[in-house]
Amino acid sequence: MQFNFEFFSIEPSTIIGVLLNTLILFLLFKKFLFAPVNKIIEERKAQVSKTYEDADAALEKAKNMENEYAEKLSAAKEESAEIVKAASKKAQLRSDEIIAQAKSEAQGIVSKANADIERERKRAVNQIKDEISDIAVNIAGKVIGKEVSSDEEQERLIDEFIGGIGEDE
Amino acid sequence: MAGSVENVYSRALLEIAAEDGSMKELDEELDALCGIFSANPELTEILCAPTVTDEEKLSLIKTVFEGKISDTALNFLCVLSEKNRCRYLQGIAEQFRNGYYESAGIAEATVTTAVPLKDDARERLRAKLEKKYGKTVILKEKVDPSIMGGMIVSSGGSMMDGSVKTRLENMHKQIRDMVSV
Repeated sequence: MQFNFEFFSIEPSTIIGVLLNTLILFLLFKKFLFAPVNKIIEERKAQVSKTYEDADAALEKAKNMENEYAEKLSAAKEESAEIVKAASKKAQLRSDEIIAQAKSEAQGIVSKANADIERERKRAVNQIKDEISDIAVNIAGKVIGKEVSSDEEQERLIDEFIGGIGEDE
Repeated sequence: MAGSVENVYSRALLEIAAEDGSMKELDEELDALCGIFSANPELTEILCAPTVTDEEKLSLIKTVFEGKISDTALNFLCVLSEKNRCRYLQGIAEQFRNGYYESAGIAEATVTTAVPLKDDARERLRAKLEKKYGKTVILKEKVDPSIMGGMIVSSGGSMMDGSVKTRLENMHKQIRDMVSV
């Protein structure tokens, strides 16, 4: 069997040529391929890192806002509790006042009614008594009128009066 | 309180009457004149009328009264007429009487009875009142059956009331006071 070893030949010039080719190729690649690619990669990296930073910043901001809201909420809760407390206190005072006023008005009405009743009662009793005394005196007047109608009685009354003059001094 | 016109005239009359000692007579005359003037209101009207002349008024007074009343009273009437004061006659007469009674120590007492006073009762009453007031008492009697009995004596500002009517009224008042609530 015949082997052709031509293409296996090792020629130092070829080796040097190949090495030179490779070097030149490497230099060309480095100059025209690696540099732009690296640049693109760097840009991407920077973009990604910026995105992360933005996200972190947004997160931070969101957390801050959350805290702020929480504080505001709790302040609002306290404030509303204060308002409710004040309002209920005011309402209590007002209701106490209304009740006291109503009580005093009711008492006034009751005492006025009592006074009216008492006055009316006295008036009625006095009226009846006046009527009774009127009747009694009318009767007495008629009886006495009959008794003094005689001349003797008239004279007696006149004499009695004349006799009494000067005696009271 | 009477007005000053009455005072002035009555005082002048009192002075004149005191001088000639005719107070009692003048008082009676004034009383009679008052009666005549009040019974004849047209007399006052004529004597006060501005349309009638002074001469006519004086002639009227003289025609009616001359010779029937004293000169003092007649002159007084003439002065009243001249000064247009005839409507004050009543007041002047009252004031005159007050002054006369005061100076003569006389008290006037009005006695109201239900039946006319008998003579002996009147005399006893006068004696009692004169003793009480220390003055001569002239009684003016009134009969008023509504007082029912007894009598009421009023003199000056004081009053003694012994009437049956007043006693009944007092009793009525006492009953009312007693039973009032």
